[in-house]
Amino acid sequence: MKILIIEDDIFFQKFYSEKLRELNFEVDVASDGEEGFNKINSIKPDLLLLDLILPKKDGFEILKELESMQQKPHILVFSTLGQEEDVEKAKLLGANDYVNKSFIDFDFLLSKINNLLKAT
Amino acid sequence: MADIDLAYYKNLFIETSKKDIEDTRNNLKELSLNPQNTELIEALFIQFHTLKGRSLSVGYSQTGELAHRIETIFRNAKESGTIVSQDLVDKSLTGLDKLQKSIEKIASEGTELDLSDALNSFNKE
Repeated sequence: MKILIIEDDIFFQKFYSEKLRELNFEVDVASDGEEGFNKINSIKPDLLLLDLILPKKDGFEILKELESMQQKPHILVFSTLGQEEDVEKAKLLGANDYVNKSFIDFDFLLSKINNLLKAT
Repeated sequence: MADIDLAYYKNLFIETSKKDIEDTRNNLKELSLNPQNTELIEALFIQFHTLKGRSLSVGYSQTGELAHRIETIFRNAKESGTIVSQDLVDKSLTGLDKLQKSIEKIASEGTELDLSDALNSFNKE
């Protein structure tokens, strides 16, 4: 299964990508929205871990551009303190679920990933 | 998480945060000179947002909350299309100094600084 992480914070990038690779997921990362959108088109991930606040192109713009895509990936967005409205907006734009990265809980994230991938 | 993981991620947290604080300070100084620069306001919003999320994720709640309150200044300016006053830029720099001291304390002692006074000087949203 291919997972693309679009996240500008190298701390979260490394944490999530290393943990997911240990579980044999095929993981790629992008550090800004433009790079992320290009990678969505080139690697066609099964699942997207998407930060909403990003340089160059934010997560909402990416979600809007994905709306018209026929076979779009499952989308799990990252949120943190003060982003309750952002999460609702992201869901309206097609995000399947979210995780609050204020509390690093890899097992919880993994359960959400597995639930979404099972629905494939 | 295994101990070796904890040490690795704690070190990664400290190193990435130190670098981001320096970059953020440079952007705040630049904003003092160019208050109309919306790209700087956007960059500062993202930088404080990043410091917030990262700090909260590893359990440093006051450090994360202080970054959140400063982030709100730049989120409001970005959303309303207004400039950030020199007074608020100075206040953000003072807050950033506190964030830096907290990261330094985490690096040396493993616990964050008591930031109650700094938190009280910013509006809560």
